[in-house]
Amino acid sequence: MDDPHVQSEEVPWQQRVMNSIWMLALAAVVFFFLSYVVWGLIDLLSVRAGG
Amino acid sequence: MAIGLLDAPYGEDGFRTCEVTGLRIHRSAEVPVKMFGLTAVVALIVGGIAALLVALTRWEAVGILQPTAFYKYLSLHAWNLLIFWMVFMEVAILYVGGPMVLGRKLPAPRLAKLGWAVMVVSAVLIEYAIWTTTYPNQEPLLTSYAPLKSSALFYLGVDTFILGTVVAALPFFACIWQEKSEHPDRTLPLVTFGAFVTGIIAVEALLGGLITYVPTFLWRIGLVGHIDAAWYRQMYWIIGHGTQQINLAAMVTVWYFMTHLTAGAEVVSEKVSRGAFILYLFFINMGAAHHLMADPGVSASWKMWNTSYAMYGAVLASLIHAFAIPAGLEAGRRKRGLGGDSWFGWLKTAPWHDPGFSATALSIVLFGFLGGITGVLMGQMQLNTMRHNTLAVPGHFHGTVAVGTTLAFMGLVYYVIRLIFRKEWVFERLARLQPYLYGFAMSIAAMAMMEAGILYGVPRRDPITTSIPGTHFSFSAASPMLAVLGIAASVAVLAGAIFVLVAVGSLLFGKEARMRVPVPLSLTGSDAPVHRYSMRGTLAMCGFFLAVFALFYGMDWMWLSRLWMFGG
Amino acid sequence: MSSPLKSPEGVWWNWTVSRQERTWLGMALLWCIILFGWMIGWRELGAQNPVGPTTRISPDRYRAEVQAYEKEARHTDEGLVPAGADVYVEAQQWTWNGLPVVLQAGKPYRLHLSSYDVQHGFGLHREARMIEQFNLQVLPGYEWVVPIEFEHPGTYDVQCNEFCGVGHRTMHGQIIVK
Repeated sequence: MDDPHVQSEEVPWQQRVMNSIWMLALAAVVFFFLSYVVWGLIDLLSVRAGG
Repeated sequence: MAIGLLDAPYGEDGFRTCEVTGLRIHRSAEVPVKMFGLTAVVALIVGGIAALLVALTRWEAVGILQPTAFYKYLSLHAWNLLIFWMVFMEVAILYVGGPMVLGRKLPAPRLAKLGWAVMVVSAVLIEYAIWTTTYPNQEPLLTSYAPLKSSALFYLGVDTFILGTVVAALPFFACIWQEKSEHPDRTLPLVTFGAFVTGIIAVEALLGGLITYVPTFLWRIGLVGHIDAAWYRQMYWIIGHGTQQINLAAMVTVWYFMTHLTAGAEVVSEKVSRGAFILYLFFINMGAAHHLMADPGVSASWKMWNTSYAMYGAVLASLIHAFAIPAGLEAGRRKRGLGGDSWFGWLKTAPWHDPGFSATALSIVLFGFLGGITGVLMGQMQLNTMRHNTLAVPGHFHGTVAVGTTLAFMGLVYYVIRLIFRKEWVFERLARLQPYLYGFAMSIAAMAMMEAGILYGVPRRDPITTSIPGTHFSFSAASPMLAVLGIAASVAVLAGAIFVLVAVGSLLFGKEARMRVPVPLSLTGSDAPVHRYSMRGTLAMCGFFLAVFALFYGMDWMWLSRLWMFGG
Repeated sequence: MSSPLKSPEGVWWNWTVSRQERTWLGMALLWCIILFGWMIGWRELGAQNPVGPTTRISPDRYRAEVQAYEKEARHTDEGLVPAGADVYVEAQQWTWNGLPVVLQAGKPYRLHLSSYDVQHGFGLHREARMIEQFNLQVLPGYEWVVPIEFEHPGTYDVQCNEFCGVGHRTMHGQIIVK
């Protein structure tokens, strides 16, 4: 039900972003890949070799 | 009989309109829902039997299984319940949340059936591999940590199971794609959006599984020389914890669905609830790091960033849903004139006799208090060292999955039986009691595990801790707690058996469903937007929840501060 | 009708969020900031953190280090007394090499952990008060050096808590703190 206080029909960018589900999905997967996988692998690869 | 179960009064175009929800349902979506739902219940039965044997072993006074058998049944218990019961249900939920809610056909239904067949064969392969494991192979438990070797057939079965699940998910994504292409300016219904987020989280988890298990399979058959233990753990937990995050997202989606269907809940703020799902989408799988807090290798910064789901972004999401769902129930019922004007009348007059509602409501409360709080506590980098590999960890995830998600899925199955299989429940009085019995018993069992782990440090995955060869030291001080675990878990298995009895009995012997619309759903209430109605009861309950959270948080940190100094 | 089963029509971004929901959002956000801040703060200022330098090392090389350490240590009836501040523990199916070890209360040590074969769990419990415990993961191919200092004398028991094969439940060791 539309809020009776809403005047305009222009959909704000925030709503359009939240409706862009494929873009959100891609961004989320890339974010996870960088935050968890890549950063973690960098940590593991930079473990120095023992004497 | 089997053909009869898959039938329904479809029109010539393959659609029927649900008399209760008004949804337009196509045969291509409904048949796979039935297939996956039934398979999930079969897995529940197998896993439940294994659960009883495991519980009666960890209750060491009974000690029913010898150690070798214990690890076998523990593996079967884990794979059947944590993976098969959950994942088959979740594929069904994707088909409900997608094509059924949207009133569309399921594209490429043959892919759904192919995926199902591959998943079933793979599951049988995994069961067989676990059942026939002998030296030099070790039982995989859930985690099959390299370099401890499990059977090659096991790793192969896991790989094909993952691929089968991906195939089964494709028609769901295709359906969403079609909907968005045909109606680019329309917003997906909240339940569909939740299902979509669940699907993406699942894809992340499954890809992580392939990254883990394909090389591990190749290593087991000698084509890869070495599997690094730290790399394995980091990759494994993408699917290990990722599958649990699928459970979380699916469960929350089911909560919105069931509170609406059974008790008149509405969405109090589309943007807030969707925002919370988006936070899940971005951050929830980072929680895989929870299992690496006590590990060498990964840096403290990596640990803290990932375990916190990016500064607790995904926890914020859970807290949002924790308010939004009861608030939706409160405001939705107030709007419909249900329960009067008091603080909690809307809750007292809710249909607590309806197992679809009671299972959902108990799931929400118990998941939050038992599973949610312990999860965040154990996820804090430092607190984790007190809990890692103790029985407190299974205590936590029995609170989340065995109590929370399982109850939610049981509630959903009750309604799948009525509305999709179109059968009345047999033994209706047992059905009414079942969610309470299960929720109560399983909660006690989970808390017993938590206490055994917190107070005594009883190890997980160990069948005999009350006497250790070669030393006077043991965990025998925890014996009473383990007895509580054994008894409560046995009652929980009984309650699970009652659920299966009602479910299967209804499918086989139930009368044709009367298709009565739950009273709240038949009311529309006033025209005023739902957010105008008071949510003070929910705010009070959530405030109480936060206070309990803060109390346990303080206690845990106090205990840690009294521990010996370690780390630099 | 804000049904979760129906597509919301119009500009739902602009729909009012009730004051109660906004209050809760503020409380939840504050709690999340506290959770994150406290954990980071403890990392900087607290005395218990699962953090220490890690080195990549082959099982055979680590074993050589352990053996060198054992040669330098004093052997007593109760266990090894380390020559210096380094304490070496090597997990192996199904024993803790280097244990039992006798340490001094109030003295800072560097605890070296690695595994010879598969993953193990270093579960340490203060025998007199079992609520006092910590649990670290021990991996083959990695040496983790965790600074540690005991305040209370007494017996501390090590029980492996990562499934490592058929002898897993027998894998016990001791740290005696005097």
